[in-house]
Amino acid sequence: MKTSSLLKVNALALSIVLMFLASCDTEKNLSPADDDYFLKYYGGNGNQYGVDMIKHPDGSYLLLGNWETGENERRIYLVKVDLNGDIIWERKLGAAGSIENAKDIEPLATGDFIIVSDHHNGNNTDVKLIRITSEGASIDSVVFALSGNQVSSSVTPISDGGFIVTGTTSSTEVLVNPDANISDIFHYKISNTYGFDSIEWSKQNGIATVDYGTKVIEPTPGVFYVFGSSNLSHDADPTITAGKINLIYYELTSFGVPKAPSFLGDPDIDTKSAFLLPVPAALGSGFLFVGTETPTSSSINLHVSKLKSPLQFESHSDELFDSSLPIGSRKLVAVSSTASLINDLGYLLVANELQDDGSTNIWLSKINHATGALLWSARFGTEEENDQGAAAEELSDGKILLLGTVGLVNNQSKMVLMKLNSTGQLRD
Amino acid sequence: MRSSLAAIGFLLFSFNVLAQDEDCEQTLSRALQEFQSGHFYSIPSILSPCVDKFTLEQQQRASMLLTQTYLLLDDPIGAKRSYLDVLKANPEFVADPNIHSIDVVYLSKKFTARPLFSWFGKAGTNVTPIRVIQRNDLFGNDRFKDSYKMQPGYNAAVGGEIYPLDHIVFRAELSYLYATYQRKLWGYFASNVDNGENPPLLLGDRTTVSERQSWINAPVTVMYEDDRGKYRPYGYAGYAPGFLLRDMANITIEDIRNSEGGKDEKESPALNFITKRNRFNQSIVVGGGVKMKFGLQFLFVDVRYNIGLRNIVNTNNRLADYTLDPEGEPFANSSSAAFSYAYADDYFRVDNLSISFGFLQPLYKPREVKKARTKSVLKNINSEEK
Repeated sequence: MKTSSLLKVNALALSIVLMFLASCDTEKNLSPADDDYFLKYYGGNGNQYGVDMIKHPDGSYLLLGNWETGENERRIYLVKVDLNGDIIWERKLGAAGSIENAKDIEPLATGDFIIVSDHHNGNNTDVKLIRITSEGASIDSVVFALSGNQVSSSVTPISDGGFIVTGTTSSTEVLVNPDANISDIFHYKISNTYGFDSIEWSKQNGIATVDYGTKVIEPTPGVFYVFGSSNLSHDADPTITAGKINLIYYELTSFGVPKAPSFLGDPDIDTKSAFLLPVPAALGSGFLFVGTETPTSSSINLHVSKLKSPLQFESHSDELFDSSLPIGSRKLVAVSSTASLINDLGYLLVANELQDDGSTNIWLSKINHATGALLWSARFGTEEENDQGAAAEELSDGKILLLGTVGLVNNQSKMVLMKLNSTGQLRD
Repeated sequence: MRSSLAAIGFLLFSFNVLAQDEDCEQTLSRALQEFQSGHFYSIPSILSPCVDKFTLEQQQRASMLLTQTYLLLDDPIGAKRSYLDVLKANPEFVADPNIHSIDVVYLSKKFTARPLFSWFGKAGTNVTPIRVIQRNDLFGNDRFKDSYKMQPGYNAAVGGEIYPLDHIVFRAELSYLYATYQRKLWGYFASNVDNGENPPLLLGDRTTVSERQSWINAPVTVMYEDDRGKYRPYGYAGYAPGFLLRDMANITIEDIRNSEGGKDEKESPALNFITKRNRFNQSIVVGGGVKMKFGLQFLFVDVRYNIGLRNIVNTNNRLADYTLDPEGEPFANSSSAAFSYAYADDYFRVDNLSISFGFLQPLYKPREVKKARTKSVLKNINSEEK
């Protein structure tokens, strides 16, 4: 074989090799997977449940959850994560061996955070507040050991530096009408003036046999709106107490005394409150009130009400829309909501989808901000295990963070954070 | 002349083969006697009755005798025709200057029986090294560890070779490759997160993923080989496009110290990972082996390394298959690796190391070459004359 022929063959072979090496996938031409979308599990020994999520001033996110180790310990689990879902730090709050159930975390003007949880002392369930630094260190905490069981829903930092906690109580020893009522709404104010452990006023609202407190909002200093649900009949006749459960909202006097409620939803359909979202100015301000509607025993829908601000406490004047959101024949239980300000303006609704076998999946829907019409929906989880949604946040690029709990096949539950694209898909 | 006669005599008696046709063997002996007696003109007519009856070995001897005869009769056309018959009888025949006359050697340089094409089949076993491009996981912490383990697979191929130049072979084949490997992850839920201290890494949760891939590859290689002798080593390099036919995986997840102190272990059914993969792959192929001549065929052993070039993980479908209805059960099943077993793939390339054993059948075509390589023979003639 001639040298020139050999050289040609070698040159050809080398060219081919170089061409394909140039097309080789390397770390340089693949963007990090977690930049685009991710699913991350958090926790360790035992079960961990996602509850709430809040943006940290430094751009990261605080994830609030519960860490259950066996039947005799359940503690608050707090995780700070970066935008790739990687843990910056993680903490357990509460004493070893305690049984607590975190419910809500809110930012404070000081840069700290307040957490409300249910504290079980063996006999009763009490409300516990924990103030933490932005790095998760506990500053102080207090358990309000009032009579009976108090199950919290949320905590609201208010303008005087204090807090209002609301929830539901069901102990006959504290119900407004223990002979008739099953549950009452409670709301009490902790004033910064009197110290972190001092209740300035504590009120209950037992207007019907079944009342649930969801959230208190302070739209202007000293004015408090309460959102919840009750089976009080719509004509507000206190003698009729066996009506359907409906969404209600009412104002408190400066001493926490409830005024007459206004109603939302169909009076003939049970609609239980789940979440109250103060609507940002970019979406016209006001309030988005989310609940779960049960038209029939086999049908469960989301219910969404958009209310103007300030409230007139006349439903027809206040509501921009008040609508049921059936999605096929699915059974959806509302959990939380957040505003969506990028791309299509709207709201993200987090829910749990009930399966026929009793298990649950995480559900996320987006609705139009002006009409409440459904834009898209997404489901996460598998058929057999219990997967539950907790909270959602929209990122500045339109992508979505979704917090929840996923049941693994080996009987573990883990707190999970997903980064989704702007249409709720677990991909770029 | 004397040396030619001696060579032919040696040739005829050195073949240790029994004649299948006794008459034709006698005919061949008589032709040789005539040749040795110098009666060249009668030889073609003596041999002609047996032309269609010779065995291949007899045909080779007869054609060689005729070649020598025509060379002596100064009939180059007859000599060429007869030498072609030698090559048809034995395509691997090579004139040897130590045995054959120089004019036969010279003539032989004008011919070749080198095959234009060979086909082959081979089968063997392989292992699949995984080269991670980017580590991905589903854990917020970085305390876990993982490793890949090669497992044996099998492979089979059919293909062909063409021979454009001496020692150079272009080989193309179609191969089926069954590749398996295992990935283990552990320690990912080992934390107790007490007092904010970084806890020690504990054994505990452990995931084992056993993946089985079926590939069709079509390697095209350029080979350099030794084309003489019984044992012919070769080496090659090339390019192999590949298509993933099937990809199934089983995932086992264990929680050794669960909250009740017992051990929970669950193994998945066979999960279809095909939608999590980029089905088209490319590889650089390097390899080598030895061909062993076996009659006019070859047996060979081939060792090959495929260097995968592409990330085979579909970056957009690695957690769920969005070609399915996101609200349906098949979609939920497509995400079960992530949601039930807390598993997601790294971005990775797939290499493959295989050893195969094969059979190669050359399709010989004796022919006169356009450009005879007779310089070395002429040089020898000149040196002999001096």
